[in-house]
Order: sequence, then structure tokens, then C-alpha cells
Amino acid sequence: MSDCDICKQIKERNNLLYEDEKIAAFLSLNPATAGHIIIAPKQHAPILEQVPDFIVSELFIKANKLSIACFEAIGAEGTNIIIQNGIAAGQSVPHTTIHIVPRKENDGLNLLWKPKQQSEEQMSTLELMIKEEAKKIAPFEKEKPKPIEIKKPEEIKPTKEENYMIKQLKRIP
Amino acid sequence: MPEQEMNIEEIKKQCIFCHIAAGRVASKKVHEDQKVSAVLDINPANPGHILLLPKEHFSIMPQIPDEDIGYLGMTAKALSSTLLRAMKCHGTTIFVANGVAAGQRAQHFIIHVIPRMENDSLSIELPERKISAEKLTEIKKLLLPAVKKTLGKAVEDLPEKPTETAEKKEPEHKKKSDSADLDDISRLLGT
Repeated sequence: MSDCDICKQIKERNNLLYEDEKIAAFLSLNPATAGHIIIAPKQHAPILEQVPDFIVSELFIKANKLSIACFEAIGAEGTNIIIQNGIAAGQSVPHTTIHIVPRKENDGLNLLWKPKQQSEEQMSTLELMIKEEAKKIAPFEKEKPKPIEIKKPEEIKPTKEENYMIKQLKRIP
Repeated sequence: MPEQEMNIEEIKKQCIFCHIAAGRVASKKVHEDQKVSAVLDINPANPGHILLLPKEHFSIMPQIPDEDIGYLGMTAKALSSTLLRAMKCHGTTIFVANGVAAGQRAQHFIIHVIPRMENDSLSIELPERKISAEKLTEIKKLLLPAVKKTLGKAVEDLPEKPTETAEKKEPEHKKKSDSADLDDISRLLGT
């Protein structure tokens, strides 16, 4: 999509760190901490549910490696891997991204939540509701192998010779 | 080494999440297959908060083989869809705390899948801080060799174009985001 900030940043190769056919990773221009990396599928997809499973798998594999790069290169002591899926979750651009946020002790970032109290009954109700819906989880979508280009076998046209043979056949009786 | 293996066995015995994932400790299990277990967090950020656990013991994310982290990611996506449908929530946060400095408390790698409602006042907001183009370039220079090492390749260090900083961009962000995401979620749910 042309007016998407993420698509634009990938296209302009603005602070790009890594790219392959399907995925690009770049430094956040509004970092939560120094070294904050964003990894995204190149194919524009506003929410996670629209990103094919095999791309999600690649994104996580690469996020893990980028996180390791943060440990090695910029002295990160930990990393947060975050997907904000939907405006309610703080998603600010309509393109699915994974944030890799390098962390250090006392870096002033507090992402910890205050636990909410739930009764045993509430928990059991939720368990049933979610379990029922989770039964629909289907086998993960695999990448379709690229169509192998096979030269079309040339159509077998009756050659003149065959025609001639057939004619001969027909003539026999 | 046998000594080291003993240690890992010992850790596994003491890891409560290994017991939960294996079903030896009672939990509110919402999904399970050969590789993973998903249970409700007893101290949820929001009702419906799921902990996705690999059955194998990994303390931190860098120890996890590619295949397993990929599988966990796809399962997290599936559980996010599950929550959107089951809880009729407005969004989800998928969250990993990798290392004590990042807020990791358990000895077992966990992916949190948290249902989100608008204005649920959960403090998992990422602050957007300003950074100078020079600082970005400096960090990029540090990161590129490591990225090349871990990912096999990195973007070649091109002669720097004057980098755009974020300063002039901020107002645009908000305007655009109003349109797309929530519509897509409701479309997905068929509402």
C-alpha cells in the first residue's frame, strides 16, 4: 500500500538492517529504547490474522535472531518481543509488525502489568469459552511450493504422416 | 557432558511451567498439541490472558531452535484469533519478556497472548522517543555486523543518505491508524 508508513520505510530502505524476499527489518524512527528494531512482512497486511502462517513463523525466527544481535552488538541485557494487534493493543500503523525492544536494567521502561483478580468460577467459564473456540485451530498453512516451470509438452498434432496412415487404415476394408 | 545434563534435568524438575505444560500440575488448559500447551494465566493482565508454553524446557529465547520458535509464533497467531472470536475483544497483545531485564520472571520461556479492549488501561504501551539521525546511524553501524552473523546477511552498509527523522511524521500516524485495523478485525469476525 502506497500510503503505509511501514511499506514506505521498507521501499525507501530507510534505516534498513535486513531484507529478503518476504521480510524486512529496520530501526524504529521512534524507538522505545535505543536499538528498537521493527520487523515486518513486505506484503501489506494490517492485522496479524491476515499474515500467512508460514510468514509468521519466519518473522518469529528472524525476531529471535535480531534479538540475539542486540545482545551481541549493543549490550542489551534482555529483549521484549511485542506484537500490538489492533488499535486497542496500541497498534499505530496499519501494517503488522513485531517490535524487538532491547532492554537494560533500570532503563526506565516499565511494561509490566498489574494482575487482575479473577474468581475460580470466572476462570472456569473463560477456560470453557476459549477452549471451545481453540478447537477450531487448524493445521498451519505451509508455503505453497513455487510452481515448477515445465515446458508444456508440445501438443501432439496429428502429423501429415499420421493422417496419411489413418487414411491408409481406413482404406483397407 | 553428563554433569550439565544432570543440571538441566534438575532444572526441569523444579520448573513449575514444565509440570504445567506436561499436565502434572492442574491448570486451565485451553489448547494443547505435541509441542505446546496453552493455559490461562492465574494472574491475568486481562481476563482471558493466555500463557503459551513449549513443552520442552527453554529458559530464554536464544536457546530455542528455529523450527520451535516458528511453531510457537504460528500458535500465538492462532490463539490471538481464538481470543478475538471467543472474547469478542478489540485486539490482542503478543508479548515476550526475554531476560530478567525485560521483566522475565519464570524459568521457562513463555509467550503471553493478552486480549485487549479499548481503554483497558494496560501499561504495555511502547513510548515513542525522539532520536537523532546521527544516533540511528551509529546504532545501525553497531548492529549490522551482528545481524549479518545471526541472519546470514544484512543490508549492505550503503553510503548514508540524509536520514529522515521522525519529527515531522508524528501527526500523520494517528490519522491513518483510525481507519484500517479495527475495521479489519470486525470484518474478520463477520460483525
